[in-house]
Amino acid sequence: MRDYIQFYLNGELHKINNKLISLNLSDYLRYEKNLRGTKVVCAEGDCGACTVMLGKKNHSTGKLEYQSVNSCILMVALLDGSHIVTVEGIKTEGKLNEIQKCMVENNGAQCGFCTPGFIMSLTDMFENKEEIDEKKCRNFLTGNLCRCTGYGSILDAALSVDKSKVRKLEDLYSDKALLDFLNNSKLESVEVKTDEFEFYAPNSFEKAIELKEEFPKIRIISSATDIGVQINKDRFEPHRLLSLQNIKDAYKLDIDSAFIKVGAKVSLSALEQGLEGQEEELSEFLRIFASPQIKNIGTLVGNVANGSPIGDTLPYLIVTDAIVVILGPSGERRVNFSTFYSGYKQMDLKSDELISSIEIPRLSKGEILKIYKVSRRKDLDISSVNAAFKLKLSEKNIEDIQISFGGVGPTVLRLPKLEKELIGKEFTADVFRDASHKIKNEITPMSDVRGSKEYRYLVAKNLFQRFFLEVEGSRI
Amino acid sequence: MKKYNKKHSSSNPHDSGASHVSGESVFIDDRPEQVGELHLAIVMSEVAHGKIKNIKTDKAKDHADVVTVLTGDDFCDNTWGPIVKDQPLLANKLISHYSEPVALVVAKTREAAYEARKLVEVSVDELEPVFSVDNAIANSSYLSDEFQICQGESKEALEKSKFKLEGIFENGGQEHFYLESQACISYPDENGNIHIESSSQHPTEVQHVVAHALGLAQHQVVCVVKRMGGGFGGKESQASHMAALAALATKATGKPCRLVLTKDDDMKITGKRHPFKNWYKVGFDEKGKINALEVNFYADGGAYLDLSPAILQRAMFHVDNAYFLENATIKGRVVKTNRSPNTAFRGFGGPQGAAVIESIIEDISQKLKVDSLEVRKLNLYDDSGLETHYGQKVENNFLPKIFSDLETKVNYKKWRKEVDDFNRSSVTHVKGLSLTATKFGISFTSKFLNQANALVNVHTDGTVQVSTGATEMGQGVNTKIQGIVSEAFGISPIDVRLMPTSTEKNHNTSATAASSGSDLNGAAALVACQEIKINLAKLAILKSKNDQEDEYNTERDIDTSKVHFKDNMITSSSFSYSFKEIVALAYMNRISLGARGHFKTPEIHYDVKKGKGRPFLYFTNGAAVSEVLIDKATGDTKILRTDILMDLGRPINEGIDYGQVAGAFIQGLGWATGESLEYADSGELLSHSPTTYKIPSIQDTPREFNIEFIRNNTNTINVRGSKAVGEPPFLLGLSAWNAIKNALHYTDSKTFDELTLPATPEVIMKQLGEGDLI
Repeated sequence: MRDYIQFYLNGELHKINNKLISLNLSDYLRYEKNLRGTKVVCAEGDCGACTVMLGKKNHSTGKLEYQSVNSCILMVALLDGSHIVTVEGIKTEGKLNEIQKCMVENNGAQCGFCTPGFIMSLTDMFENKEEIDEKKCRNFLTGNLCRCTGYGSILDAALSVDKSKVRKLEDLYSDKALLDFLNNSKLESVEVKTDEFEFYAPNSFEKAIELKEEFPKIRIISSATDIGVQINKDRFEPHRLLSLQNIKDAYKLDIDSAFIKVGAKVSLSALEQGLEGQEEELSEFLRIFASPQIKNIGTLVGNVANGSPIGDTLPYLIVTDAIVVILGPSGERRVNFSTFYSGYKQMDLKSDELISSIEIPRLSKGEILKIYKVSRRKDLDISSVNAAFKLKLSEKNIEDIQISFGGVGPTVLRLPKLEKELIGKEFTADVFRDASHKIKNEITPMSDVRGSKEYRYLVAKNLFQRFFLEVEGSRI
Repeated sequence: MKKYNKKHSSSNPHDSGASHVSGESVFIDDRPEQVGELHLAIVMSEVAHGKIKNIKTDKAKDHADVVTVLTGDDFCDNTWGPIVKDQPLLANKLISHYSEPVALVVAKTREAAYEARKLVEVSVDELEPVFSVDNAIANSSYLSDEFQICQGESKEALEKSKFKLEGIFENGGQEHFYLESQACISYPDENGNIHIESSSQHPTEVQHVVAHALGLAQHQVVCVVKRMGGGFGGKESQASHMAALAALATKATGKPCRLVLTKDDDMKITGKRHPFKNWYKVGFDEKGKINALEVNFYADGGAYLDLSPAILQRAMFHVDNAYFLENATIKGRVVKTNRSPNTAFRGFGGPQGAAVIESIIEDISQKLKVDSLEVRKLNLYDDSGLETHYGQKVENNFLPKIFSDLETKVNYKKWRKEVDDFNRSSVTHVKGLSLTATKFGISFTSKFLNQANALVNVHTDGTVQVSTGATEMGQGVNTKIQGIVSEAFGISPIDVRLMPTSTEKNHNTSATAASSGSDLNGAAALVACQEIKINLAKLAILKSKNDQEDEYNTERDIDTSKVHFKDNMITSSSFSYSFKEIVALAYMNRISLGARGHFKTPEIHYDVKKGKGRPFLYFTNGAAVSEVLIDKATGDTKILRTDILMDLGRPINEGIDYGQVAGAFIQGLGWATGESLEYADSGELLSHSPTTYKIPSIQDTPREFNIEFIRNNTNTINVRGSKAVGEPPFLLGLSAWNAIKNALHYTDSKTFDELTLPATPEVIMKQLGEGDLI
């Protein structure tokens, strides 16, 4: 057991055992280390100005990976075992590197405030992608906002980079001690206690459950993509946090012919990579889901445990009849996703339990699945309405159908009445049109900053009709 | 994607590029804290309108790390305003908008300041708030008198018109969303003087507002601006407000005081682009030729006057956009509401004016069933010297050429047919296409603002430092002035360095605004360069005649017209010396190597009462054509392609100008399509962060985006034959909005003339209606 956390920052080892571990990384960098190249704009992981690279061993694949993260919502405590590289740490031999040079030559920077973040996201792209095209650039830069350039010159810069001149971070930081630290350190239990704040990162689920029994109010922190925002915006003050980051089993991702089993610490990026070439609809959805910085640390289990009525993966998990695997003092229990939520942020999870994984049944032959997300801005926006539909046809008839909507009630909803009514009916426009008009009977949307009640009713109806058109189109 | 030549000699990259990409550029909050430096947090009102009964600060003051809590009573004069001093720096009598600053917590740490501000109690007798233009009109709640501009006889012409349309056109506000929120640090100087480092477009105003608020003389305050992390108008007037708060804290404590707003606070407190509601009537003939236009503009000024009258005026000037109005009656008034005081934002009312006529033209085309491009071409200013509705002759007009070049380049007819064909076959989606224009008037409409000064210092090694009143907010004004000065001396841009803007070097400056930064300050720098060059040229001539003189006298008249500064050399037919050699010699001969230039824009005048004059030195013109694809199930819109053609005269730096055009267009696109300010019934802004307020992301830009410049050597009136670029392309974002309107015209919808701006998915769905897709 260690009573401090340890990580490298731009090639230098840091050990911290005091309240600084509760800071977010960007504040730590800017005000404790005077590394002010990393900027903070929104403090909620939505603009990317604070992007830095996080190097860590991927416990699913065993490889060392450098990926971009938002430092403004990443608590220092969560850095244990990693290497943070900031914009100050990427020059080569004291000179601008290839990416930086291209940004200068193409006027990719105007006011310069978002620029370090863009540079770090591009660093991620050139670190992890072999082939670069405009679409990939856009996808990698989804999480970075710029108000000056209109992005054109940034795309020009990215596309003019000579990939052969880009040095990988593993090469730039090849110090043996550092590589050894990243690749070979064992996952140890960590406990850091200060007067106001306690942080626990046990190295087994058993120890985690014990902590939950001991401290019923302890909050599990996964990657803090939501808690980090709540802390920054004064809506949550952490006193005692529990992280599963040092539990090796939590990083398990098993994809077999029957299930996709996703461990609690499997990032959305890791899931996206793991699924490549399979489960097309989910893969595609993960590609447009959130920004790279969020996906690189955010987890599916975190999305579920957070229980937002508009969590983008939730309708999908409902229609696939996913199983929530829950661990507690008396062992494991498995809950069908459709019955997991009982109300706004209310879920079937006791104070001494935690979610260890989610198991998603694979689509069987003939099952058609579609996932929808409707938001004001296509990308990196919280949805006003989302939905997932799963359909199985036999000849002309609907053999089975699952219908789920998010953003139209206190929690994500399944529409059992409508499902029941549709089963056995003919797959026709008339049937779907009629059914779409009945959706309003089973949903209860409200008006808020993301859309009015009326808009949500209308979109829910239209999405179901759209689903029919897409299925029909694919049948022709 | 872009069509400018990067190798062009004028396209040296942004002068801060290298420090931006390495994170070494210093913004306000990147300055290391001084020992004893204090942090500030603003206490904001939690009602939109009400009388303050009292402000209790005791509990906050009891916080261990709090030094003091200040209120409006602590100012020597608590009022400020860029035109009229009608706004309290810290409200102490009346709350006029939600999140209005009422107190200032001064603490040893940032955390303590933010913690303690929750302990300040403000009790208020609430008053009925006013939140809309309609409500304001009903309550006779105004900030200005009515302005009027008339041309011809609109009433008569309207009656005689074969076709008439009338309606209401509303456009929404827009948050600046500069990435660096409002920020400043106030440092105590000796003898009660104050030194401010500010993220401001207007250091002179910061200086003046701080001096006035603290009861200091102007020479006791210095304001320095190194750079801003974006401005867009939001730091034109309102940075001064923040600076006055920081300065008050310094005066009270004698310590450096740092005020760096969070993005949420910034969005809640500061003003936005003005929302407008406009009533219009238009008369036209069977071809779409506009005979008469009457528009009543109502600009929502928010709680205080700020720059609203000038913004309204610019909207009224730009209601013609690029189209000749033979008969027009344009009226306008600023209403007062209980919103944050709306302020300058790129375009400064121009986009709100142009949006009206571009929307009207789309409706005319729908009514007559002719392509909107034909209607636009029919009404476009030609080259016959027509006058605008405010009496300015449209000269050197390249608009007809821009239209025909763009139409040809994109093969508009073919494109239109493709859109027609798509819409005939698609069940789930609908496309739209529209080509709109910009004809943006360049000059401040307040004549006295059209002046600038610059200080040029040549060092003995031949390198140059330049200081002007222009502030760098990313737009590249420093890079352009670097280009102007280096070309004037015939030296490399890297030998010219632009220095931070400071009121002790350049005083009585105007805001870097109205797209005029490079025009005015570049011209002033050129005046200073000329003065130095004449001395250097004389010296070179004298040296060529006698190489051995003890001391050369350049104070006599010598014809220097044949001397050239080029390629680091000073040459004529009879000599060639290096620039450095002559500079070094000048110093030894006690000849001044520094000069201060002053420039004022010629030939402009405007009579507000008559509504006539020549308010603008020239116009920057351009056009854009955009194609959109709308998802009929959700209203989600994609911009498939945009082509822009701009007339920027002879650009000083094409690379910088390309960035300005692309950036302004995307910002205009955001205003016209996606950016929507949402308020609670209480008046609280709900969309106060990027989670809820959506500026365009990299996925929202047109899938194909072509920008080209037209060659135009006729604009000899402006510095180096260039044209201002900052704001004009913003208006082209309207091409996407009009394309959406056009797309709606293809659907069965009957209420399309009610499309408001921004056309968010929800707004679009309102127009598309509840019809079924299947």
